Amino acid sequence: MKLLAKHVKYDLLKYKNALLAVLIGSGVIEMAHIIAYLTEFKTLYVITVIILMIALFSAFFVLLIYSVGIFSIDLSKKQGYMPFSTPTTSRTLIGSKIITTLIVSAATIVLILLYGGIDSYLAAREAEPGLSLGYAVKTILDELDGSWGYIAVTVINMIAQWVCNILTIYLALALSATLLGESKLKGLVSFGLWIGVNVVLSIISLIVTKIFGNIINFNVDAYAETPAEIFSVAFGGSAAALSIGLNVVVAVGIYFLTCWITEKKLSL
Amino acid sequence: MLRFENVIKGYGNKKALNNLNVSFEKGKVYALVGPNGSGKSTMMKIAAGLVKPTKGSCTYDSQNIGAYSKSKIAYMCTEPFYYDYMRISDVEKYYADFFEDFNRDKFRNLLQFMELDASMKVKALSSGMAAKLKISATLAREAEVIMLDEPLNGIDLLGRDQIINAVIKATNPGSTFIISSHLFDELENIVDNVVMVKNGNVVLEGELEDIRAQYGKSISDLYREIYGSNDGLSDEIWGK
Repeated sequence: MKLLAKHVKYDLLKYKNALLAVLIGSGVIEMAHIIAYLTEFKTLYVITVIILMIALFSAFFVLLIYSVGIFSIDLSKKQGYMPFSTPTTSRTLIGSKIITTLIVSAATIVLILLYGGIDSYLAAREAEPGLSLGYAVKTILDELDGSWGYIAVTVINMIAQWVCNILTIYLALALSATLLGESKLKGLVSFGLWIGVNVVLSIISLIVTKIFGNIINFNVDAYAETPAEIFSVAFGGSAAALSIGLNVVVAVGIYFLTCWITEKKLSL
Repeated sequence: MLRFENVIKGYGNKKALNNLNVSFEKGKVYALVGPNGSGKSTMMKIAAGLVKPTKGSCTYDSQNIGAYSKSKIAYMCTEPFYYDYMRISDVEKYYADFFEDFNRDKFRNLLQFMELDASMKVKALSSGMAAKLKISATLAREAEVIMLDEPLNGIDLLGRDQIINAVIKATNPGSTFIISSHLFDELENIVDNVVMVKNGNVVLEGELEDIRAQYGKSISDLYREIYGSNDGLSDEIWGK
């Protein structure tokens, strides 16, 4: 665990300038947006809205590039000698990349929720002058009451899917690096392998859903009162449960396969 | 003991190592010599766990190369590999974080000896300074095996003396040193054993004194004999 935490630390430190630039840049734009809103400076307001929207939609791709980059650069550049020379198993090394990805993804979502929350609060205050922050938060929580189970299942499903996708790309990268060494076609082949692995996984997913879908998918509208019951009903009744199960099984399988290839076959 | 058994490493159609068998015993200082492309770096990278053999096995203390061997073997490669953001002090932190055998005091002494400042940015170092940093970090590990790949490559005359002195000071009966070079002369005063590699295979190995006595020639003469001379070509190239 100690070694894993140390690798996470260095994966964050390696790109600290880029991460800080995103944090400061988005903060400055959000501040400009708030100032433009409060001072009714319409041109600046429109510009900041456009930039924030672009940033929001591109956040997923930036996260994907970062998550893949922390592994692919280690495989293709000489700086990969640093982590791979340490007395660390590939399980710990690849595990640390996934943890780093989850930390950066969580930080990005917190940032989006923070900026979105501020903007929504300002918009709500315009519709209802004198609206307090505490009251606004309470209203939202009241609205969500009864849906926490579904929210939890959706979040868990999203995390499982995200990890599964990243691991699929890692597997494609490890495979192409093993098969092609330093060939320039490596990137293209990785992409092809990633598509191939995804096609195989989709077929497996389809077959499993066909076989087990009817067994798991029961009683979605079951009566539930407590949050625990809501969670249980949502988990048991939702197709998300099957998706989570599949993603976890696939992710674990791909994780061990990628670790094995990296440990036994892959040359830097 | 570090052992290579029937190791083959192929890159496409080319075999970098061709059924290589060799062992490195504890406490000895080896010169791993051979011309460029003979397989020296591939051997070291396999022992460091960075390159995997196509066939055969490389073991340390009878265990396959992995996390255990990496904790015992310190490796310095020829290429610069530190992260761009790092200062020399960050390199020290990195090694201290991951290697239990890393001696920070020794590292600082070596930096002083090599005339390097801990606040220097790694990215801004000249090739000579970068080489000195890599050697300082590797030698500061009190590892059971220390492998230096072409440590004198691209270093000026004064720098070479500094590095050779640092290596001489670092050698001790508890550690095995494997130092590669495409020239033997520069290692003659440091090593007591030699392993000559040609076309991915060992062509000569043993203790320097034994080899000299057996062949009745100096190691440098044997080196020239094994790897040949291109004197005949030079006249043709220069049109003489």
